[in-house]
Amino acid sequence: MPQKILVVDDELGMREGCRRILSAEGYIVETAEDGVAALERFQADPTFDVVISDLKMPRMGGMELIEKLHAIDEDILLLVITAYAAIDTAVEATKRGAYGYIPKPFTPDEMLLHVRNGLEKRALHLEARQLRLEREQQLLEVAFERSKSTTILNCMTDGVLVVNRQGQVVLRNQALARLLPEVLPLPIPVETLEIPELPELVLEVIESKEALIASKEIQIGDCTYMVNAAPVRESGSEALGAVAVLRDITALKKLEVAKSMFISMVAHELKSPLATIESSLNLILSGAAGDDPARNQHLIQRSLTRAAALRTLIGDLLNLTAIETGNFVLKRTKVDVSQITRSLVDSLTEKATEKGITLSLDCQAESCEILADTNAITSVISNLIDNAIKYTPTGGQVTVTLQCNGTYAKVSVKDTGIGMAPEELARVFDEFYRVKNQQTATIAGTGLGLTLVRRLVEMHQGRIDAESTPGVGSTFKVKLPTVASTQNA
Amino acid sequence: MKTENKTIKVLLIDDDADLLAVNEAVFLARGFNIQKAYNGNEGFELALSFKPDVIVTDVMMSTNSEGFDLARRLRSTEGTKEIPLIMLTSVNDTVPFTYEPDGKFLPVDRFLEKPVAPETLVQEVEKILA
Repeated sequence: MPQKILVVDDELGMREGCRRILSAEGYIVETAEDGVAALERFQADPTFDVVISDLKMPRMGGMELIEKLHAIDEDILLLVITAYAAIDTAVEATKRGAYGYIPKPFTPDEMLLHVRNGLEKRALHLEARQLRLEREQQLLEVAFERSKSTTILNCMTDGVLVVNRQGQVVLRNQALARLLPEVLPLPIPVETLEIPELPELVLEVIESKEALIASKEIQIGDCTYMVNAAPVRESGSEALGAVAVLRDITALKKLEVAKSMFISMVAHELKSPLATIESSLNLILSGAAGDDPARNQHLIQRSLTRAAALRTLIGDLLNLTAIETGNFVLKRTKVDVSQITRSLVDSLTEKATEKGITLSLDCQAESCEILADTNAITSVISNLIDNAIKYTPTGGQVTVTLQCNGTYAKVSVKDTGIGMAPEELARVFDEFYRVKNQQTATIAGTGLGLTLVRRLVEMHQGRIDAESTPGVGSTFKVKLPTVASTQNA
Repeated sequence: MKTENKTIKVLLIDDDADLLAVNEAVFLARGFNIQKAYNGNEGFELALSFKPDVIVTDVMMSTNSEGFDLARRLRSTEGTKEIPLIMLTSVNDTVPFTYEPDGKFLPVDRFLEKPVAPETLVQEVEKILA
């Protein structure tokens, strides 16, 4: 692409002379008769590569023009044409942005030489600047990438550290800084971290011939970490070091322990009754204790009772699991607690009477509506009455009271049973907790009934409380919000 | 054999009354003298007053380690420390059973996993006393 030159001179002869010389060399040439005209031309088309200007001109001289053009475009090649007598002025012009001066008079070759030199210099300058800009851009990008990775690394909740072949920690993120004393400048030997087994793990990964990823659970203080170490490799060569990621799995471990505790409790609660049933049946079959038909009958009866309790336990377990996993869906409708309670007392009266217990109902509300799951509420109240009958000896009393005010329905089940000591009462809603003594030994239970009752009550935004005195009896009170208070809430 | 057994006193401890009844029946049929307890505390009191020749106890009762707590108590009490102890449990390996680290103080003489056949339990008691 040909370069564009603007020739500024008040003498027409000079302007046209220059145009001829420069055009012959392939430059595109335009002319202006003074500074003002040149500035206007340049502002209209700022693509000129060179401006060759006389110094002395009417309206605006070369000095002022140079200054103005330089301010607009500092890369434009500015040359001044000057007489020998005005060398000082020419020097002044270079100070203001001119590249050089062409002393008058000059031959065409002299002028071309100045133009070519200047353009060459300018091209070099532009190229250098382009390179510098590119480099700056690259540096910016690198810095941005670096700060991006640093930010990502530091925002990670897992600890990350990089160890070189010499076993020196060369990089670590902030999550790891909690384990690594911040004051120590890197690199430091990996042993300094005092993380047990980590140095060996990292070494194993670095020295392995394969792309090995080593994992280990490491205990650091009270916390358990899952540590994964992988080699840092350049294609095919041996490992340059290793990256280790430390994840705090303490909470997970605690859950695991709780889960395995729960499973072993369940195993015990399932295996014990089964073992008893097996032993009973064994005794009958083997005749190891003689062949008393009445006793055998009793053993079979008890085995049946225990088998039924096992079935209930499995049902309770499934319900509890469903509640825990959120799969237990309450189907809430308007439910009359008064009606449910009356019908439960009716149906359980026979069971109470059989045991010689008086079951009575003190119903202080004709109807008492709550927004609830009928099955769940029935299960809650029947569990409480059933428990009261179970833990009350012959001749005792179980009283069910229903009260209903505008805010809540309150069902109390009071017995004159064996009662509980304070430490037993405190654990009564715990999973698998059962009061164990001579009085309770023959009572079949799952240890999950009250746990389930409390979960169900809580799912209805209600609450359950228990009071008890050993030898006197226990009272369980359930409060459930009524329809009115549920709608107001 | 039967006349000899009449003098043998066995204390059975379990929170499962049905199992106690079954085991009691087996021992009574063989002429043993039996007392029953439903938890560790009752068991310990009976060990002192009844002075059994052998104690057979469950492990998990009110607490997971109730049988072990009882065993330690018996072993560190004058009058009960020499009584042979048989432990029955329905969960053999899922519960962490802890022995004393020095090995000298092993609170239990014999472990049996439930269900234990009636004959087996009687044989184990006789073996320990032999």
